[in-house]
Amino acid sequence: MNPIAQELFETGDRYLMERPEDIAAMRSRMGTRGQNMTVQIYAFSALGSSVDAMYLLQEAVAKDDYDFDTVVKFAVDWLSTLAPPADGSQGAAIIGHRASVHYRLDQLADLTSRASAALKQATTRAEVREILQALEHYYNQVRTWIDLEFPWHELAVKYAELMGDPAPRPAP
Amino acid sequence: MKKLKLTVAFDDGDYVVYAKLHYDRAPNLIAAIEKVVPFSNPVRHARICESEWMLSTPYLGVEDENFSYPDPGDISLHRAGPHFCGWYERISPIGTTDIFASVASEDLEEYRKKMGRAWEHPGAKMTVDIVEVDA
Repeated sequence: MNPIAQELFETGDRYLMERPEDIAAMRSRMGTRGQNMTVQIYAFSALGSSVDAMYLLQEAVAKDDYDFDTVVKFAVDWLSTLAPPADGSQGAAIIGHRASVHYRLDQLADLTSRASAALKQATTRAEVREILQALEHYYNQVRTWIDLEFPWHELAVKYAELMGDPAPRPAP
Repeated sequence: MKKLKLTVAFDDGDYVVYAKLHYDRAPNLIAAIEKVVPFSNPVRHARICESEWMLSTPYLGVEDENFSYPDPGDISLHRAGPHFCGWYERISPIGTTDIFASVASEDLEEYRKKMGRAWEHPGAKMTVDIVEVDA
């Protein structure tokens, strides 16, 4: 197995029950007015989208009707929204290298950078698919822990009050 | 007979429920799950799909085997991620899903009350296993 894929799978498996250190750092990242809530919302959304993107790309790269070079390039470009490839090939952000600077998910940024560089070096569909699946799994676990930080119920109740909506139904 | 065993470590004690495995509908998925159990993850509640709990899983890497609409008690795999989905009340489905197990109808009332807690109190440790039980 590609070393970065193995590291991502092992880290993701560990995070099934272990809270990533990145989560504590993310909770300390304050936004425009010293608020953390929007940092969490944006990080959660970015990782949710990235899980879906990695899933779709690992499906695509397994099929001959998707051009190999295009799938790899799109994957690297998508990942650059979180962190640039660790080969110095992309100094300027296409959209923004957000994982570290915006969300303070430093380990995620490092793993993404190394995985992105490995994708560019990969020569077979199977190797690319393995790295994409490993990223999908790892992002899914980090996303789960961001999800668990967020007080969905309490905010849903408060939001309904603020917006004049009906109160959320109680649990059965 | 083998069944799916779910153990949820709530603050006031463990809740255990068994679900029938649908070997006829999802044999490859069940085989993949058998390779990774037991595993645990904090259980969460869906925010859009109505009465549904969610649980992130180890990577399973399987293809869809059935495209089904869930009934109360059904448990399925959402492949992107992936995560398990468990429905504890009747819902208006927003799409099909790969159902592989179902909680028995006689257990649904307690299951509904217990799993509904995940909305207000997410994060309880759920352990998934496949065990041999008397039929």
